[in-house]
Amino acid sequence: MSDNTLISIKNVHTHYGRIPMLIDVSLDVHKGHVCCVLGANGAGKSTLVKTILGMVNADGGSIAFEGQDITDWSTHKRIAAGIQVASASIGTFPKMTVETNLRLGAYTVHEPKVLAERLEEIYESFPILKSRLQQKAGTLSGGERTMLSIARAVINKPHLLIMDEPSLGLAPIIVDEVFRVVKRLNQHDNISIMLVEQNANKALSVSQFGYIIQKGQILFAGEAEAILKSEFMQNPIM
Amino acid sequence: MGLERVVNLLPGAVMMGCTYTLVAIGYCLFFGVLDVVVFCCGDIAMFGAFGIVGAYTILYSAGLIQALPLVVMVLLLLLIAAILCAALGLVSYYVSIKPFEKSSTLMPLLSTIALGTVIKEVLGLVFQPVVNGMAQAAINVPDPKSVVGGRNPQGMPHLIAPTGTTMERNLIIIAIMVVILMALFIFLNKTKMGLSMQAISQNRELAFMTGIDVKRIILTTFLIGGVLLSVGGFVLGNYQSIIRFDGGTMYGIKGFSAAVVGGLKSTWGAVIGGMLLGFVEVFAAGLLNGGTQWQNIIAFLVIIVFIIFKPEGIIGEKTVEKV
Repeated sequence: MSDNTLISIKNVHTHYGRIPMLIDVSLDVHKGHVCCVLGANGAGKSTLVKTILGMVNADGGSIAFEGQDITDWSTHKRIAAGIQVASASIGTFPKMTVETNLRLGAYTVHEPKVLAERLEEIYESFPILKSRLQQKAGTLSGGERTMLSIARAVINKPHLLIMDEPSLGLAPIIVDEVFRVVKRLNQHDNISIMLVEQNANKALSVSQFGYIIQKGQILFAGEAEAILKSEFMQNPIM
Repeated sequence: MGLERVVNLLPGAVMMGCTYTLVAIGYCLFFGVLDVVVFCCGDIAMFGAFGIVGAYTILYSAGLIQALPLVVMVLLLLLIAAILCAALGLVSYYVSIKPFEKSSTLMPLLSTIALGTVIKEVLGLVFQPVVNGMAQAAINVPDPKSVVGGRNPQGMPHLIAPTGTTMERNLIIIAIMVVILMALFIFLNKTKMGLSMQAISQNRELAFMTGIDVKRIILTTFLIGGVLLSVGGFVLGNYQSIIRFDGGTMYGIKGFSAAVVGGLKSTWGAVIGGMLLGFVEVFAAGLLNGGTQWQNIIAFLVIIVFIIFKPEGIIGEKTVEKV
């Protein structure tokens, strides 16, 4: 593992009941990079995210984060170590206001003063949320909800931000906005991102490196450019 | 029915409402963090009431009750009950819920009913030979066994305003309840711990992803729920004067009904559901001829009407989140 590796997943297997979900998956995300994981529905993308978080147990293999073996760590310990997930499909705390979602979401921020500063930063970078602060999160539109899920993760200043299908179910114009945010978070805020997506073209346009996952297995790994030129992009199933 | 009569019944109704509210909140909190109905809530509360009777009896024979000022003694007894119930809450989690974490929700439903029965019967066994003389003296019942209905009833000592009228006692208890409920709502809405409980209730997966130590919060919920239930048992015991080891069953069912009528995941709903039940019961008993025999019938008919027309509960929400 090179010094530049942020998270390194080696030969991980998982299953739900008897059904294997991930088969011998190995994957690295480098510091400062956006690394995308592309795959169709049911390819194992969400399982991969949950395995990284420890919400699904890995049967074999290992996960190392910032040089530490976290394979047996509990979910909250992994998150305290600096991994955050922004997942629009997991949603929000619907009966809480947007502000409470953010305050509680900043679970790893303990200092009230720091929290206040971070909130200000979030309001600046996600102005749409600022106008919705006292609204119940359950009443937000799809795009707003996606932004809230991203903001909730980012407020913790994660070392690794995993974005689970941020473009899912959004109108094209909002998808563009989401990918602008991804780019800004990576380039301006210097956050390393693992971008899990179905929208391969968009995802590759902001990534340096990519993996293609199919039926629980890594099918291809390479530079974003290389994937863009590869035969996989001709395949309509992707 | 005169206005005066209604005014006279009011404190009793609020009181009853408070006792149901406490156990309903217990159901709510447990359901919130586990998505499972913990059916032994009523029995845990009754365990608290018996804890008070038992502790009172022991302290009385040690001569401590007579030596301590009333307020200190009451607080001491409440503390003992709270510790007992919190411990029992933890035990019920480990015995009747944790082993069934990954099974269908029917399993913990059955196992908590089973545990409730165990708690109840053990209380009956332990207190069978006692029929406490001290508490008996306090409530002026010559022979507690003569009290109508049920096996070996225990006399609950009058701890709140022992020399005052029922009305005074009710008002004091209502005031205490308001303070407790306010503290609970501040805890749930202003502290990280309380918000985490709500977070687990609203979106368990996101709670995990947020970094909430869900396991620890569940344990804390059982501790807090146990404490609330002990207060419920205390208040109920004070209201009824005579407690029976199997009284927790009906109390639990009514608390559960109050929680469902209110909307199982909402603590405000539990308050409203509890008050509704308390009012229906007390007013049915007080205003109808021979109403005491009718109060449960009317209360449960009202519950059926409510769940027909408002199945999601008074404060329940039909849709959880826009998709």
